[in-house]
Amino acid sequence: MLGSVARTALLPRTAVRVAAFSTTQNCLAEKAEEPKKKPTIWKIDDKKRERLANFGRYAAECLPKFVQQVQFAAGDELELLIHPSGVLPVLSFLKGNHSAQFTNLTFICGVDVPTRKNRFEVVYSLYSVRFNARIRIRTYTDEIAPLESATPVFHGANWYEREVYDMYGVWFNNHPDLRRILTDYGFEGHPFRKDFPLTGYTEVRYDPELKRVVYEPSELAQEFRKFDLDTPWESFPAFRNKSITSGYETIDLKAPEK
Amino acid sequence: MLSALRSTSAVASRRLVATQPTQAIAASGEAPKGIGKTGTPFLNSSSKAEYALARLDDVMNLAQRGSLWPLTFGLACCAVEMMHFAAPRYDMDRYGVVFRASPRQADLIFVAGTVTNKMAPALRRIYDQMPEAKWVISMGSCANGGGYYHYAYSVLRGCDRVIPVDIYVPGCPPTAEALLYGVLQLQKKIKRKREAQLWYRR
Amino acid sequence: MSRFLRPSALRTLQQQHRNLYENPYINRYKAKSKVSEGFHKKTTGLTGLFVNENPHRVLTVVYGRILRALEQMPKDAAYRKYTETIVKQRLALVQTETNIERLEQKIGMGQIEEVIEQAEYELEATRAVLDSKAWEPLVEAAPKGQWAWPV
Repeated sequence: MLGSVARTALLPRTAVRVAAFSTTQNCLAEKAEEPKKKPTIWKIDDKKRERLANFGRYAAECLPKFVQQVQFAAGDELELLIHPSGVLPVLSFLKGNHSAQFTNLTFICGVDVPTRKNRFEVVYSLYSVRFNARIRIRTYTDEIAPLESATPVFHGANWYEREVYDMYGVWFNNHPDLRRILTDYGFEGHPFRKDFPLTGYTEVRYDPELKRVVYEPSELAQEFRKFDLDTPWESFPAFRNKSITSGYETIDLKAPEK
Repeated sequence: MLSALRSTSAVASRRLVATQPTQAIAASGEAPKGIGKTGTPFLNSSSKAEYALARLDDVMNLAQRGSLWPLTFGLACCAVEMMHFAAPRYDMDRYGVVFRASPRQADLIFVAGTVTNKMAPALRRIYDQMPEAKWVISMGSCANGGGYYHYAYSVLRGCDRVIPVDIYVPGCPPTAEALLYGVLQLQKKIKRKREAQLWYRR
Repeated sequence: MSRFLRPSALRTLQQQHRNLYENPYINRYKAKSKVSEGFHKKTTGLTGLFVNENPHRVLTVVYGRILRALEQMPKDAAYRKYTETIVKQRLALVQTETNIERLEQKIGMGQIEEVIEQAEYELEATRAVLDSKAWEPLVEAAPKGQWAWPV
């Protein structure tokens, strides 16, 4: 609000100054007259979105065996939802295909939704340096069923998969060195699973008699405190009556818009 | 007349404060409680031998607190404040505090940041490798008691579970000034160390 | 130690000993990045991407491999159709245009070394698609509610 007041106060003066200094540069004066609005909102580029949608259709057409659904998340983020058996062909298609060239693996991560039949999702994010585009590939698995490792296609997948294994316990077949990466040596359990208690099972202390650090079942001196972090004010009154949605938009594969 | 004299003497003593603090304290008789005019905390000696050892203690403590060489043990964001303490604004070198990169050369350790379970054995080993007469400053809430990560599965609930801590510096992260104050407190603590006197009593 | 080892073993040990100036990795890198006199560029300017002086030969071979792999797919496979079109188009360009710089301009995908790298990735992709028979209908639909959010 303060900014807008300042802008309106400043505008005539700048316009006058521009007119006084440069009679030839009319374009500058025009620019100064119209107030510039720069809201910090991510603007969705419709052309780019259309291109991405077409690419999603193209990928689904090329790999009908694995692609279950193509969708946009958050407006213009393309997602391919694939069957777990198709991780390698889909990734190598996206890396190799001449009109894709997603040569950069940004990350691999896991998601745990315990109420689903296949509780884990594994998400691969790729970036195409050539076309300046991003894509996400999501697949699913449960505690037992292994996924195929992406290391033959992307060497960078090595540690990401170790992390997903460490945190969620998703097993990756044909991984060169699948072991824990972040948690303690000899750690048991997978801490990012929803059924893993926040405080874990063990804690450490130094034992002066044994002269080493020992592990003991964890004991909390104080009960876990639950903080009420809600503000007394309503955060988004404009969205009071809106239902919570995912923001996903499924792309129709059958009929490409022309 | 008397009051005028007193005021002039006060002015004189104030001038002395600016130039020679010890003499000023002696002149105004304002030495802190329990501290002698020479700055020693050991005032009541029962024998001549104990008096001599108290002076030896004074010299030892002066040397030790004047050249605290800390080991950098930066684990998280607190490490940045620790660096600020080393940088020219808070310039720790003016207290004779100089970072060493090896535990064998250090007599103080700043535990700056979150100590995880995986790091705990390493911290203990580093501490054991330091030569005797060593001190620990625990810096920040995470090192003091787990802090933000107190309930986490992977974090040590305070580095005093692994090594004995002398000074706790609170804050998240503590400012460089706070760490400086912690070092000054540690120097104060070292001042009262009576190693030689205890040896004599035993 | 030299008394206990055979001369051949000793030699291998000595060869494995590296210093700053005889690092085999650096030597291999240098050997790869050598460009003959009179070639129109000294480097690609991209780390790890070495100048290729016979791009026509390499591209013909790689495109030929891609096309042969594609022939094993059914004719109506979408991947085969699209890839065959673009690869044949590029192969025709490679065969008609002899000048490297003009070829780069006509292909319009950066330097010719990058085009070769793309072709190699495409070959890998083609083989992966071929091995997994990705043109077949959907192997299995997702379980109900798998992609539903919020749950």
